[in-house]
Amino acid sequence: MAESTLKIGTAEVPKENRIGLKATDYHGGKSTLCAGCGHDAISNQIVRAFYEMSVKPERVAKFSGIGCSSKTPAYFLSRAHGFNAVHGRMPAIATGAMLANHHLLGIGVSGDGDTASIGLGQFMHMIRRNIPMIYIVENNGVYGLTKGQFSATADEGSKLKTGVINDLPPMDLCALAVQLGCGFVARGFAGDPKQMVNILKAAIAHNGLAVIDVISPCVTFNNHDGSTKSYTYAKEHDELLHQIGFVPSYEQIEVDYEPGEVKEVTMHDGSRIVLKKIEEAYDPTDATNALVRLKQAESAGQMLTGLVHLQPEKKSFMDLLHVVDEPLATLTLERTRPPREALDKIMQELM
Amino acid sequence: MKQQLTLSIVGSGGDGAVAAGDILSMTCAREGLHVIKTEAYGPQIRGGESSCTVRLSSTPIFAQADTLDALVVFSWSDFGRFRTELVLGDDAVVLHDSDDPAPDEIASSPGRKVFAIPFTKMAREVGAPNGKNILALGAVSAIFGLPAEALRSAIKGRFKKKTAAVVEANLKAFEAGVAAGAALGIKNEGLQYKASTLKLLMSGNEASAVAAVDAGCRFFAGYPITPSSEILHFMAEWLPKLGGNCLQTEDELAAMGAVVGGSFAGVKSMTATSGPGLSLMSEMMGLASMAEIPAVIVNVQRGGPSTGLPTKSEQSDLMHAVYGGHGDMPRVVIAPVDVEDSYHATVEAFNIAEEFQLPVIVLTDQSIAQRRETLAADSLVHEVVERRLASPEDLKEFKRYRITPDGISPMSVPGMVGGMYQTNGLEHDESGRPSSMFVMHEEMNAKRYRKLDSIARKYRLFRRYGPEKADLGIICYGSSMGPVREAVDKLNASGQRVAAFVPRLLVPLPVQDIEKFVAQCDHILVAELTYSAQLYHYLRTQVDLPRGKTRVFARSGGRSLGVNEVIEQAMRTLVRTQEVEEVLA
Ligand SMILES: Cc1ncc(C[n+]2csc(CCOP(=O)(O)OP(=O)(O)O)c2C)c(N)n1
Ligand code: SF4
Ligand SMILES: [Mg+2]
Repeated sequence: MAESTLKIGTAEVPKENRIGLKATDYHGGKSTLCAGCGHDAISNQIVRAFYEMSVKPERVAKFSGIGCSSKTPAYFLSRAHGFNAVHGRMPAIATGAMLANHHLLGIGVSGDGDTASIGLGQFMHMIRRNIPMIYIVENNGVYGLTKGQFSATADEGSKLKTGVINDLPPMDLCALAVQLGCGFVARGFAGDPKQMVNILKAAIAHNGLAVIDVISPCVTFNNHDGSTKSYTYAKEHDELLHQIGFVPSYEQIEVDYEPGEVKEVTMHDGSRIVLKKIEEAYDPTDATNALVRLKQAESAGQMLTGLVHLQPEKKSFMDLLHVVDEPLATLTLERTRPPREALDKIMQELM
Repeated sequence: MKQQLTLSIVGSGGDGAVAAGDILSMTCAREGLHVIKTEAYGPQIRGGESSCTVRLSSTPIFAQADTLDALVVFSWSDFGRFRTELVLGDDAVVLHDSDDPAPDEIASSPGRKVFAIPFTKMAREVGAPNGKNILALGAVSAIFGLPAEALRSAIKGRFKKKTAAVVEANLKAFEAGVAAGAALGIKNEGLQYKASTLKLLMSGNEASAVAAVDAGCRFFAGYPITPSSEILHFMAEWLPKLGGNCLQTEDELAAMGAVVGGSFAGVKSMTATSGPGLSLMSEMMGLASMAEIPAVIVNVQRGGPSTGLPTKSEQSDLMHAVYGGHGDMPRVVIAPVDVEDSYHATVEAFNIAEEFQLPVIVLTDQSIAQRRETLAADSLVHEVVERRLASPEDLKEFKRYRITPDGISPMSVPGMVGGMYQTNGLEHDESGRPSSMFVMHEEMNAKRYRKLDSIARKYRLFRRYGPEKADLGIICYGSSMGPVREAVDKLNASGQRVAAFVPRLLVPLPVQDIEKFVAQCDHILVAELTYSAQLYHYLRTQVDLPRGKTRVFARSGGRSLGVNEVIEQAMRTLVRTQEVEEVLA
């Protein structure tokens, strides 16, 4: 299998990032998840991405619903605020918070149950509004926290330990997000940390909702033979769209590849995503093609990973609302209260 | 010799604490002992600390014991997590692994007998490295004179799917434990009992599920939520085999909706959930109430609000169950008092729902739903009432919502010729046609609420314990019955005159019976597991509780009421009363 990532620049990892923080400054509390749970692997890459991108932890707001996955914001970035909301309702809470302060860097963590079952309606409307934040679905095909019932992303024919077989078709959250016009759609795999960290960095650089569906095996309830969301199955069926490299805006690295071999996408903040073709020339900016490719992968039983769709210039909800740059949350009373004349005008109309 | 024994086993995942408790409780239930088994876990889904507490008794018991007579600890750090839940009796026997010395405070009580046994090492020596739980069982059985032979066969049964070598090794572990236990030379700790007829060992969730199936429920829709998921699992396994259907929906709105649909189409239907799900079901319950469609909702309460304490008991959904929803919305609330009663209350819920065409909430809680307790093998029998469908006479000029004295109108189901009508969330006239006329709304509200009066006349569901006339009467509901009943027994045995009243029907409340009880008692104590005294406030909306003579003992859930706690509260009232009387005399 090909490498999922491109080596760009020096591989050397500094002891401190550009704002003088250490990786440990991005750590969270001790995980209480089962040893080997995919969700923990994702938390580790979140720590790494935010550290390497030199994001000030205090600027980050973490959101989640309910589930094992939704517990994880407690396990990364202790220095950031977190809101562990209720089941399936993280999008509404996050939308409100981001509207009140769009200077926050929002990251939502949810599960396949939290998102694709009870929270599907809110998830879809969050995409439609393009709220600028990261939305990670830690997808294990089951409700881990309530002891392993099938979720709506469980593959047809997948088998539980108890022998129960899922006979409903899975919901493909990437296809759904593309269909709804999401400007950043990716799929990762908890067993491929290097790809994961690059996807996350690109998501941090994106201005708009970044939906990342991560196949994240539940070692306790869905990691056996017969499961299609086990580590073994995912490794065997992982189909890479491309190799991913990420060049932050502050780095002047030139990437030397043969023409036609790589595709570069420039993000809102000037950083660049470099995608190197593996077998096919995949253009992630083409939404129609993305849907076709996802459908093909589904029919072929492949687990397609990589940057599925990118449309960095798509306007976010904040752009459309023309909100003042100063977050509502920090506006002073003088600026939020209407002047006397404005009130008088309203009153006059009521008279 | 002891009449009863309460034992806790504590360890990490893999230590088999819960498995040992299972074997012990199963065996003793088969021997005819009375058993209550509870479990507790740390925050981890797997591999975290767990504890299993088994109370055994030769006489009937109704609650988990306040303190432990015996404790087996594989790891003291695991025990630390349960310190507030597992309270050691002053003369408790404590067995722990020699690898992990006991903290000083454990041996602090002079009567306590603390022994180190090399569980891990011995289990390895007999070739059962995972068998330290079985070894501990052996030790416990030797010390307390538990049925060794029955335990041996239970162990064989437990491992029957494994190789003969595994069975052999575990039996050896058991014998090694027996020898180690006997060698401690502890005297007079034996449990006194006579083997009698086999008892069933069930959880409240199982009892509710069995009841539903027995009552003829053939459609279940639900969404997983602790501590009610066992009902969904049971239905998913059994309904298809019984010619029914079980649907796991995408959320509770859909679950309740599907139940309303299933029942509309003519099938007895049920869902099960817990607080967060009950909130979401309110919308569809309103529809069921308005459209007069039978539905049963089992709500297993946990600590709230919101995600709260998912694995712990509380009684704080009471107000939501009784009042939740918008508009004037008649519904019935029935609260089982123990595991056996979960069966009866659930059948009654179907009976009432089907006869009176409205939503019925079975308001139980985690403590009843997830503990296992013994019941007499022949106790699961209850009369079943069928839905009253429209007769040929009714269908001649069909009026689905005909105004009747008892509020019940003829119900038809889709496909019934002549029984067509438009089912509605809108207010409607007798034929089901939408109507927003004030007079019609008033008349229909009156008709729907008359059903509650009819139910109150037909069903007087409550329990009463203690003497006819009492100095103190305790009122509680649901799982608080257990500790209150034991407290009442103890108080009366010590010469006090204390009675208890436990309404099983909460809507409509058996008001006359409560009033009669209140009149029979000099003082009233309302005991409940809510912070805001929901039961007390609810009672006061319908019953005159004597001013100055009523006290409330309400505290948050997370731990069930304890017997001693209730006794202490009762004594406070009783002693103060006596003092007052002395002064007056
Ligand atoms: C309204 C409501 N219904 C049900 C639940 C119970 N519940 C908690 S988490 C969960 C599913 C979690 O699944 P998923 O989002 O896939 O997370 P995982 O544990 O698999 O990471 C459910 C059903 C709840 N908390 N609230
Ligand atoms: S139950 Fe599954 S999803 Fe939950 S922590 Fe354990 S492995 Fe992870
Ligand atoms: Mg999941």
